[in-house]
Amino acid sequence: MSPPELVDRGTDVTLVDLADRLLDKGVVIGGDIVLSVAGVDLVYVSLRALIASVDTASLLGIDLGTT
Amino acid sequence: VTVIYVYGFIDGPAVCLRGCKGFANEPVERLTGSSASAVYSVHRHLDLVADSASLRRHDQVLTTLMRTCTVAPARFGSVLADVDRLGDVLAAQGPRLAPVLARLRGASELAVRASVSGMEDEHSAAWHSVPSQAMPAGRSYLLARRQERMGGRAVGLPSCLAQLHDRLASRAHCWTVRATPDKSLVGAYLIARREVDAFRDDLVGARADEPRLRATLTGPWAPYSFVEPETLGDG
Repeated sequence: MSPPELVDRGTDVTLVDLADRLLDKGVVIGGDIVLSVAGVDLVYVSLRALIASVDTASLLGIDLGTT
Repeated sequence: VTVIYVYGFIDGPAVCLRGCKGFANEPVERLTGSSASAVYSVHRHLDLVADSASLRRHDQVLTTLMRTCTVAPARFGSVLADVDRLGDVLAAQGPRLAPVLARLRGASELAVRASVSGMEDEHSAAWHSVPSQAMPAGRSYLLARRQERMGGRAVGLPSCLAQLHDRLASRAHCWTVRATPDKSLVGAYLIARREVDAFRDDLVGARADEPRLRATLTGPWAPYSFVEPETLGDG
């Protein structure tokens, strides 16, 4: 079977797709999660679950600011 | 003190994990429950950062597993105190995971980003120019995602992108799709593995039919976008 990718696994587009999936999708389980998104923000919440996603941050009342 | 990192959930008791390495090259192990198995690695210390290397390692574990079994990925960063806690999770979520795994069996996720030439704006140009060796800063990433979602609720797809989506969706078990503020299509499609080549050919054909169409396809991914009940009935 020929490769299905129209872009290589190592490209910027693929990395964006990867981040979109791993940080924003997937089964959420209970537990304590410490997660730093490289560069700036370190988010720690000891709850049933924590995900560094926009929706979840909003649900948890984390203010992401506007700048 | 140890912690366990959970990569996802699988079916298939005969899955071979030999040689599968997780974070810090720790071996990937399996805990079998009554309805599904969990895949994890054990760590004395885990300094988890969502950089490209860590994201790719998480994905590599799931990609390896996909060769031999059905995978329901866990959210990146899922850490539990010990295996007993994981057993509790399996007992509690097993009844929900079993039908999810059944729905995902034999399928992979393909990601499509498509736009029409002449409709980009500065936001699009900035967002897509991600440095190759670094993730965008955390705040920038989260804000961009929020802006995309807020815009996506208000802005529809141009007709040719809607037609593209219809064409691609006809091969999909289910899908999730959104329009970005610059009216690009960002979609995820759950495709039977035997249909992956045909899906790719559809996209190539669409680009040939519409010269203004720009599109990228990535995957096959583990089905990250299709583990929640609300996405399973979209198709």
